[in-house]
Amino acid sequence: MEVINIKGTDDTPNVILDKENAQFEISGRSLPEDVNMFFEPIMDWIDEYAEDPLDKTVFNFKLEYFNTASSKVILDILLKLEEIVENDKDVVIKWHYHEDEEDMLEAGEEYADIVSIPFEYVILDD
Amino acid sequence: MSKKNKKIIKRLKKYFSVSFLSETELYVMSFFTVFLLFFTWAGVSSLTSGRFTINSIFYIHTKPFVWFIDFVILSLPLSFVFFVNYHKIKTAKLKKELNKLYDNSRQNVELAEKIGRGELDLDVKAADSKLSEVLLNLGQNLKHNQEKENVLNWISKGKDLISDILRSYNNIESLSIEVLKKIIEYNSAVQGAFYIYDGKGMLKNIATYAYGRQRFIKQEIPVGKGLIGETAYEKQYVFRTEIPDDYFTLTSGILGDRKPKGLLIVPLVQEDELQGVYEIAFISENVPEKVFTLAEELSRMIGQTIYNLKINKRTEQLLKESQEMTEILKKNEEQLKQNAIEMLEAQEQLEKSNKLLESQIQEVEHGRKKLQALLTNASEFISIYNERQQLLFESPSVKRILGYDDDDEDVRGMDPELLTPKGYRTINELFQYLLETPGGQRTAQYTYLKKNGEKLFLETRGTNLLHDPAIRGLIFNTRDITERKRAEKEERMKSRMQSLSENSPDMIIRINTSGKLIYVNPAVTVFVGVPASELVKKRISELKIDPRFIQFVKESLISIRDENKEIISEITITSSEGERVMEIKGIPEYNDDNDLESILFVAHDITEIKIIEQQLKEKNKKISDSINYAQRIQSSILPDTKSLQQHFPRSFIFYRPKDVVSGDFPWFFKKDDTYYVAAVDCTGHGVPGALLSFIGYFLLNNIVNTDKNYTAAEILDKLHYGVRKNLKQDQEGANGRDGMDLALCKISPEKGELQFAGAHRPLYLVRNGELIEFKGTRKGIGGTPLPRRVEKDFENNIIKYQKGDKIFIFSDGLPDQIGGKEERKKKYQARRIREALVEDPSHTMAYYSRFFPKDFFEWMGEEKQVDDVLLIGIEL
Repeated sequence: MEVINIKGTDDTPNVILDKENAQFEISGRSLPEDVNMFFEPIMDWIDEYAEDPLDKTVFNFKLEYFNTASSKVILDILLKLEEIVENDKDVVIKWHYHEDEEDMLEAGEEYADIVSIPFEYVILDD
Repeated sequence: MSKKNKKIIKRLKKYFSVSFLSETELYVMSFFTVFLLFFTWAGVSSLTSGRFTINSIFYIHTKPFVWFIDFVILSLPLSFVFFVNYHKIKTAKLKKELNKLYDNSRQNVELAEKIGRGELDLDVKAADSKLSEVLLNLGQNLKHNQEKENVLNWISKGKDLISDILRSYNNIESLSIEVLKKIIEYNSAVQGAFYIYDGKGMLKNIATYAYGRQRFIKQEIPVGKGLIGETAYEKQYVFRTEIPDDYFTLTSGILGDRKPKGLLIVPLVQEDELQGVYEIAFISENVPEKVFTLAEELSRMIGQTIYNLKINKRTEQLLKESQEMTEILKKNEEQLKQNAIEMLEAQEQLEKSNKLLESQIQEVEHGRKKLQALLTNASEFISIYNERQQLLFESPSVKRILGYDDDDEDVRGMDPELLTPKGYRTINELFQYLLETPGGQRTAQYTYLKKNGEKLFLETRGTNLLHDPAIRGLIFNTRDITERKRAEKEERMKSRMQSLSENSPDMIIRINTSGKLIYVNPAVTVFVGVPASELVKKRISELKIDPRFIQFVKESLISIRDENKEIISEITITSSEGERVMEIKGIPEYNDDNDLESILFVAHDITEIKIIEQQLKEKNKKISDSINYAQRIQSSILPDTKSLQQHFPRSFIFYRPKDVVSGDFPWFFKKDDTYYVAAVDCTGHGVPGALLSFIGYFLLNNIVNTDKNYTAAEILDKLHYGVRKNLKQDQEGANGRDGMDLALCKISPEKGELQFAGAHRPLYLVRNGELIEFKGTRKGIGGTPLPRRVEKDFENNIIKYQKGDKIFIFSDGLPDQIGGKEERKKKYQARRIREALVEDPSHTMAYYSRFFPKDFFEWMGEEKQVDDVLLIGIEL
């Protein structure tokens, strides 16, 4: 599979999706003007990945900020990953947050409520 | 009469008894006494009166002396009787004592005889003399010792019996059953079983024996499990009288109701190492102590034997293996000997040929040195390869030519590692051709990586001289053609640039430092309408073209000369096609000594772009006008601080959209005596957010208008489904993610009641300087329903409020704002809001209405605003 490696900006996140090296990470800020356009190739990639995933997928979210529209896309990504879990493959979400950013932890917990994927919460160092 | 007197009388009687005298003796004694009396009286009478009569008898009795003599005579027989009796009594007494002593001694003799005969069940009552006591003790000790000896004899006999069996079997299976049989028999047990420890945590039952019959029950018991397993684990024998009903499956049928009452389980150990376990069952629960002592002895004895057997088995195995090994070694040794002889022969052969070779080498060495000197300094290098493409020879000059030092090793002119893929292919094709063409010759070019990483262009001429006996290889003459390549490339580039320039729609003019035109491209002719030949080699000031252009070039020359910097500017010039707006770049060009040599002017016609830019500006203005207008509409329907204060005098709305129009909006509604207030955050911001805000605004109005009894949570539920329906998110295939988060309060002052429901948003209630947080529901408004998931309803909070309670609701724009004074920009954080609210209980609403905007802008600093910001505070 091709590798997605998008460098982040002030408004868009860093995205690394690399099946070969088992790297899955979305980090930084996500408040693109058009959420759907930005995330479309990412969703397509994950759709394709879900067809033939690795035995274990560790997906890292290291988001500092995301807007409401992005939050829905993140949920879509998690729902797609949940399908992988339903096909008896391991998926772990590593949800990174800064210790003093309670809202990011809460956001993670809300996602964990919705999808049946194990979440690990990791405190980010500065 | 007193008792004492009676006793005295009895005693007197005894002493004065005359029973020892015969009747005759008594009469004789009485007669003799009377005679003596008369004789005496006659004597006395004769002395006094001379005559003896009755009267004289009376007469003499007037004298006391006669009475005394009478008394003496009468006491004589009495004294005699007394003496005789006294002796008699004394003798009787002595005789009695003598008899007693005799009895005692006779009994003791009997006792001693019994002890002598070994009859030790002695009667304790007999112990009434010191000697008897000693004898009795002696007897009891002897009895005790005998019992002890019996036990010891029993144990040692048992040990001997088992030991005999242990000696006579050297296989565990038959040993175990025989041992078990004997143990059962000897201990008067009824049944038993024997287990061997396999060293891997399992006990294997290898013998079971019950009532004289051998049984085979394959059973495995893990150490630590059950009675047997526990015993094995503890390595301590166990005697149990309470036996589980199902313990011996074997017995239930045979014994009927006579189940064993005692069970002894004994571990078999060797030096504290478990070897096995045996168990035996007894019909009675009273099992003598000696059985246990024997069991302890046997535990070690049998354990040792089993251990020995195991060791023997292993030793046998090892012995067998070692014998086999010896056999193999023996064979190998012979082989080795043979080999050594062969090797010795080969070595001798080798030494001979080495000597020959050395002398040959010496010869060749001289020739080689000569050649070396020639080749090291050649401007090309020669390589010879064999037909398998292996390098046979390469001139020493290869290192110098390829940019390596003399001490670098393994430098090869066609090192595949240092060739480009294309070069590698080229070389391979060259080899292929040469191998197929005897005597053939061909030239090829390839690139090579120098030591310093630079690219080297090489040209090699290969010749197939495999048939030549002097060479017997493919010979390659290779030289460095980098410089030639570079020159060729430059030439090519120049002509390409030329062609680019000739065909460019931009005007390109090169002017030297004195203002003379060196080059113009055809576009210049098109623009100024003067042929190129009339322009070249003339001074710019001499040209008959737009003076504005001439003026610009002159100024540029001065500026570039002074500052050595590229310039760019826009000017309008009159061309053959009328007024054109040109963007002109002046680029300084330097010679090899880094002196300014000429300036290249490139003028690009941006007239069209300018027009489009203008149009864009106009369009943009129209759009902003329209957005501004939209903003007026939006702000006209939305409440502001002033309108809120009409109902709640101490309140404020801090509202700061990111763009002109906003996705966040405050909402306020009053119906009868109920007030509704909400801080709403629609997905997105700007125009799309604003459009969504209208849907939210009017849906909320409609919902509360329909029924004022809806709780805050019910309003959110209705809004949720309303948004979903309006945006058609509930239809199949819908992909809408648009929706809103909000905090909604329903205030009923009459009841003093506040209801709160939140979609991802909380409510902060400040009472007497303390903050109470009501977290909203983890659910947003709107959005396509998630497949296979049940949606929860919003949670309603009912709060009895007090006068002076302050409530705050807000969108996430404020807590999410990036900023701060530190190097790493951070989010404002909800915590900062909470801390501000409890900082000082005396802070008023008016204070907060000033504080939050101020703090927000200070926090944001130079960062851009991330989202719409909305904060509503109300004092109830």
